[in-house]
Amino acid sequence: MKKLWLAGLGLAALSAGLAAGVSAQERTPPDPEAVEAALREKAQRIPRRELASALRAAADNRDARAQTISGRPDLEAVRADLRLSSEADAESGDQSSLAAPRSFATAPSAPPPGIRAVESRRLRRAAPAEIERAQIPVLIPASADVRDRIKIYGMENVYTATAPIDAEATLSISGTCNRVVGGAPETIAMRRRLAEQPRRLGGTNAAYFISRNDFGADLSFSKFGCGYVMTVECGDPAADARCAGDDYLIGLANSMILANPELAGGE
Amino acid sequence: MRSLEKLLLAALMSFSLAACDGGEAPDPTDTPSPEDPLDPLDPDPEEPDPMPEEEFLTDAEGRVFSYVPAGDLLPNSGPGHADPTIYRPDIQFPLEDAAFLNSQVYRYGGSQGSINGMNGGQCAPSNYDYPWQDTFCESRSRSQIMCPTGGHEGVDIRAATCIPDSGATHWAVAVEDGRIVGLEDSKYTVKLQTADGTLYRYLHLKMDALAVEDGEFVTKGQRIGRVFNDFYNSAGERVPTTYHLHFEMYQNYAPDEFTDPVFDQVNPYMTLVSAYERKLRGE
Repeated sequence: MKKLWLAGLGLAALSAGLAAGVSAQERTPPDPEAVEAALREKAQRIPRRELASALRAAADNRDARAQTISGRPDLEAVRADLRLSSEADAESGDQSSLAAPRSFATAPSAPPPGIRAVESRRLRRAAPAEIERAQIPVLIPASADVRDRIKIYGMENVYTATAPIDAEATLSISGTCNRVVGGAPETIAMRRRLAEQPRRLGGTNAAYFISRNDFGADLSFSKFGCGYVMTVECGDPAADARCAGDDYLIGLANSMILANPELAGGE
Repeated sequence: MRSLEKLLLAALMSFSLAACDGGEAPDPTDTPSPEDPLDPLDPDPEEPDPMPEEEFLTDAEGRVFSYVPAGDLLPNSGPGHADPTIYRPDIQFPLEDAAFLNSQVYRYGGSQGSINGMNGGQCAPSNYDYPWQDTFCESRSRSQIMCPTGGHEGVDIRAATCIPDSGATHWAVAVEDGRIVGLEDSKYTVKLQTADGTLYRYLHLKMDALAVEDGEFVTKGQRIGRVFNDFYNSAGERVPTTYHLHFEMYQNYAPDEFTDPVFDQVNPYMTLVSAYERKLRGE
């Protein structure tokens, strides 16, 4: 019994000592000279000679290179989604269909299935030549106030669309069908784990992730074999609900419409 | 003979450590090295002769370039994200001159510098010296895919000189051929998109005096803007940050051909190490 009591006392003393040690460390910052010295100690230098550099690169894992591979959109999937939305509209008696997409609320409770299209002439700020140049499904939010302000920058296999939302916030969305693969084994493994936990958007059923950054928030999603990232920048990202919360971004992403249906043989 | 010296040294160190039992708390800056203990099966490993300083790559000022490995952040500044991947092997370094990657927040001149005892202004000499250090996933309140506990989603790059002291102009340049997109609608960032899908973001440039226009196609190495300290408060008014370039890289990454890609920010640190190496070699 006495042994048990002594052991308990010892554990208590150890806990108190550890706690004191932690709080002492919290109070006392490290010696900056020691911090700098530790950095110099573990820093790596690169031999000047070419051959030595190549060998060194392998030893340092500096040769873990990713590569970009060309990809094309899954146009059959685009057509299937257009058909799906068209059929859904026919069933509901909605004749707005492809030519005049509905202006969805920013966070619709039940997004319609498939994807709708918009005629490029309805995009007041977008140059038709920019849309034609993009050989990728150009997805933009359907929300009318954003759609009317969308500017599109098209290149063959990529595009970016941007719009001011109001004085405080702006929107951009970029997409590409090329993908980057490879790199360090630990990166590949981490990405595989990440891919196992996506959430799904309503309507398009696209896998998505949300990140926050210095100026706002990103929503990344994949659709038609391509990757898209939508960014909302806010004057005050922490206080503005459009950047601080997920609902606004998800609402926009749920309402995506196709700005170049002709890519899939549409109108 | 050398092995005998090592064994004696090891014995002496063991005695010293035993005598220090109950002494000071370990210094958080001490990083145990797995190579330090002697291997009893191989008590006399051959040590390569140290290379002389002049054998290492230097910058134009003759300083030996060095870098701390990816994901190894300053003490008390977050978990980092150890990603040694070079995502873009052929980019040009984003600044024309020498540059120093390190923390704007947890070093001298940063709001959290005192945590590491680094009290003082942003022009402290060690802010403008090697080694470089990664700042991707440095602690922030924001969540990011790569740093779920909240982290910095790019890397911070100081120019060759501290601009408040030197008054010098340091240019940020296009890292690849591409197009400036969304400039008309962004107060804060310059976005460069390449034809094959990479998206770069340059932050804190002098936004009212950029060298590029919205929608312009630019070539690798073309000047984009001056490294500056532009930042904005919650009212959208300009407020200064430290003078540096915050650099982000988005990739549409997929771990394999069967998995959907995720277009998001990746750690550009080793891509920049590689680009800087080529810059110093004059390639």
